[in-house]
Amino acid sequence: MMIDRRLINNFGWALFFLTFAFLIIGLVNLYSASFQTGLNAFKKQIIWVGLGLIGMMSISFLDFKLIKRYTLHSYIFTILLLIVVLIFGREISGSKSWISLGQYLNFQPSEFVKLTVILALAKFYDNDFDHGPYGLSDLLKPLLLASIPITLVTIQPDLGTAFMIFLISGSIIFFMGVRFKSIIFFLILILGLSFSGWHFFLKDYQKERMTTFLDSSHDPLGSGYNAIQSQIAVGSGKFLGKGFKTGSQTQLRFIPAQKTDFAFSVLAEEWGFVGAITTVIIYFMIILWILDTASRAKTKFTMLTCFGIATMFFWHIVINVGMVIGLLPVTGVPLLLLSYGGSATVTSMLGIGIVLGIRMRRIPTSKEALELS
Amino acid sequence: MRKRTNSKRISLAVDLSNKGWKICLIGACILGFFAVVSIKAFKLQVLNRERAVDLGKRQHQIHYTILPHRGKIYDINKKELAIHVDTQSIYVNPKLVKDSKEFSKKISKHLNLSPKKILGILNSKKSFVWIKRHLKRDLVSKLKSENIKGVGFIEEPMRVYPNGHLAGQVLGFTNIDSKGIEGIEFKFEDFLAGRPGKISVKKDARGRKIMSTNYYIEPILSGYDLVLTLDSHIQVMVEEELKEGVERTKADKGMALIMNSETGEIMAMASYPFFDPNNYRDFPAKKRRNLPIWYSFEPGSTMKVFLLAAALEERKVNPATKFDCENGWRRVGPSIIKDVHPYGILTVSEILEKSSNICATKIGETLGRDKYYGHLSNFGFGKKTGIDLPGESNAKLAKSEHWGPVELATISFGQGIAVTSLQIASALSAVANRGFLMEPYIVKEIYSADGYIIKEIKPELTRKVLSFDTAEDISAMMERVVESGTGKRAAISGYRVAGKTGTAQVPNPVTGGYYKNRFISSFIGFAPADDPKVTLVVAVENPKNGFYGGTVAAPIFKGIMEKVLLYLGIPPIKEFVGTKVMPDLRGMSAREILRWSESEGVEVRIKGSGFADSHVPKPGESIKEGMVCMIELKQSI
Repeated sequence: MMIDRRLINNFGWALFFLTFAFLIIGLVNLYSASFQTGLNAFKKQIIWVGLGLIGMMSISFLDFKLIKRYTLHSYIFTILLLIVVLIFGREISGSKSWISLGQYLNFQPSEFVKLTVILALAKFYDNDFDHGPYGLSDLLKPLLLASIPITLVTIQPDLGTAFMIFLISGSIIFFMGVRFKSIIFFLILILGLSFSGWHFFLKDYQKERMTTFLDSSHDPLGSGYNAIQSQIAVGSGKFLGKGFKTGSQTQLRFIPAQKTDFAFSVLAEEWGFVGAITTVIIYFMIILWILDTASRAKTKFTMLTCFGIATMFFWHIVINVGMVIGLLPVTGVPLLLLSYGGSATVTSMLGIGIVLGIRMRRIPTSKEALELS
Repeated sequence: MRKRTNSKRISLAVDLSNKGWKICLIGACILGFFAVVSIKAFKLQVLNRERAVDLGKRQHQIHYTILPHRGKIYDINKKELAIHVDTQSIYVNPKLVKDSKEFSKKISKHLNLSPKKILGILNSKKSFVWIKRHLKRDLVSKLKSENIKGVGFIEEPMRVYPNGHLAGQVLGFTNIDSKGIEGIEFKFEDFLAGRPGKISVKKDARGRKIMSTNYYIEPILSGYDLVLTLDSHIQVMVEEELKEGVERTKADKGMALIMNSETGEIMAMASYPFFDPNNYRDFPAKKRRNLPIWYSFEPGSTMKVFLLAAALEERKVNPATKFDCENGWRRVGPSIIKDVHPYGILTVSEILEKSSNICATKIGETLGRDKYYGHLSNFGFGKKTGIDLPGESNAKLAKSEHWGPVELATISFGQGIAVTSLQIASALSAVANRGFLMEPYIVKEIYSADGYIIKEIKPELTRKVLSFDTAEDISAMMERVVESGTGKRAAISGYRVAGKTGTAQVPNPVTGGYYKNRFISSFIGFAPADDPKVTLVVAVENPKNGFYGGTVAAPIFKGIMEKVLLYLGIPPIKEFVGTKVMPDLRGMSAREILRWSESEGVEVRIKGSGFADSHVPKPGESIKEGMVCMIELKQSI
């Protein structure tokens, strides 16, 4: 495959550097959170970031037509992985969501599914000539595409990830338009499902998380512990933070899951309000940049892919940061690019890579430009 | 084909532009969320930050109280009388114990406590209950290796008295929390206790302490050490002799007090039966009492010493004044006074020697009740001596206006007045000390743990109670008591001992009279009589093998005094044999001459002051037996 010079000229340096900057922030933060326990996680994450960078660059130079062609294949492949994980998966802290390839390499197929669902939905709407709003019968296929992985991930059970897939695919479907009647129908359906889910499907610890969120002080040593510790960490960071490696909540291990889901509370404690808001701003710059790419996209597929990836980042930061600062209940959702975790990091970097690829080709290549004129 | 895709692209562009409001909506969503996050973060990190900082500090730090080491108590030679050992105590947080049956079984196996008792402990609603305090080290390590949930250990210093019962009642004891309850431990609690320190320790989420971050938020202050005037060697001698004496005479109890005649320092103080402060719970309260200062009794004839001192001081009598002892029988008012042996005419000196009660009443009458009372009071009877020990008794001395003729008579021979051994010892020391009454004390120095002196107690003169001459006369009379009177059993060969016996009836609180066959036998005295160093008071209550002070207490006195004089290195008087050559003493001070005369057994008479100028016999001449060397001193300028 020939690489056009203009491809390099059009390369999204801004997005690349924003992402890179954010990865560095994440690594520095992880160093602080793990240096007391031997930096194991830090070293692993460096390898993952390296792999992610390779993946990101490779996928950005791939023609997205190629991606489009293999969308369904990759979707089915990840669904198969989800089924495999249910059978052969490794159980870590109650969820059977890991595929173990040897002692050091574990990964979560449910993270990769986020990306393939986006692609699959984008491809569905791309093939569809209608311009919404869509009715119930039109939505049968996209709903099916979304609900298969959601169901499989729920069974693991990993409600956080399932909820994320639900939010991402829901956003895409709503963005493409849903008839008003159907919206009403979905609302009733969701209410009914959540009601029956509360009574029949949710496990006790999950219920407890919800009630804890409503009043975290009612059981400070029990289920409210995580939320309270996180807020103490964020609050005691004050305006400028306690400084690198000196956050007492972090170093004394009061922050739960401080390398993964609560990585942002470590950041807020050690770098204060300034550090936290700066990080959030960089994150939103990444999202806005992806949305900008979406708005300039030339095909429905690329536009929807970018849009889907943007929602993926958006919902992760909403749910994660909302949880860390006590706006939302505690759910097991990482902050992409900041939290420790190979699958999530690689997935999000692949997403960035796809966006970079689309951005590079937003200006027609010489051949296409000729044909257009 | 190509065209169609093109047209599709264009239509899509239109499509997208139509959906501009959606982009706006998304932008609004993002902005809204950003705003909410910023506001919340601002609230947490800027507005309410103190609360979070506070909460954080509270869970990152635990405060520990570190108990100080209690000060040590030393004797005058810096021998340890009371020390502390580091022990550990075990406690339980009942809330953390899940299976209380198994817990109690496990604990009772190690601690020799009944499982029932441990179950009772577990029923407590507190989160901290002691199981057992001050455990042995090997037991602690065993329990720690068992790793029983809910159990914790705390370092607690424990008081230990390495010499067991030695001076037990004097030292007193501390309770399980190392608080002084009696004796010196109680009186000097403020000095000994020290101040607990508070330490702040960081801990992590699992409650593990991070010890490198300790710092004191309140400094710890170790207790001060005490140095007593007590000499444990002398204390041992006193206790051994007292025990033997009390057991020999089958008495109920006994006490002895030995004091430095010149300074008022208590050298030893003993009460029998003994008390071991290490196991204070095993002893009833009355065995914990420091008898020489707490127990008051009617002294009997020992009081005659102070009667005569008062009479001589008031010049109502002189040692040669004669009294008629009326053959052992005299009526005073409604009462009849008897002597043990009937006597006729006795000189004052003989009255003391033979201990005649009848003549004592006559001297008392000659002196008059007010003068007598005045002197007794001056000697310190009827009030506390002010010794630095708790629980001192005033004893009992009624005011002279309440004395009738019978009271005057009985008080003259020591009945109807109560004293403590300490009061007698202190008053007698004034006689020994040429009339100077010193304040008795037992704590000599107080040191901080790092060796700085905090307080030094010096001998203190209370008042002068006798003239030099009276003191010398009484001393001489008391020497006669030991040489040829009732106190012969207290005589020590090679030493001049002054003493007086006492045999007192014990008042019966029920009848208001006296027990027929219950006595307190005592012996008081000092030695060496010519240069008194130690005053000793011995009293024995209710002896059954004999009851006279001269037979019961005098041997104890002798036993103690003999050992103490030897221990103190006071040389015995050498018997003077044959002739000696007079050395050249010129230029020597009076003190040096006296020392020489004592060691050579030569009698000297010194005139003037300053340094020896001339003497008879002259240097080189011989000294014959019984010769008195006349030495003249002159101030040399």
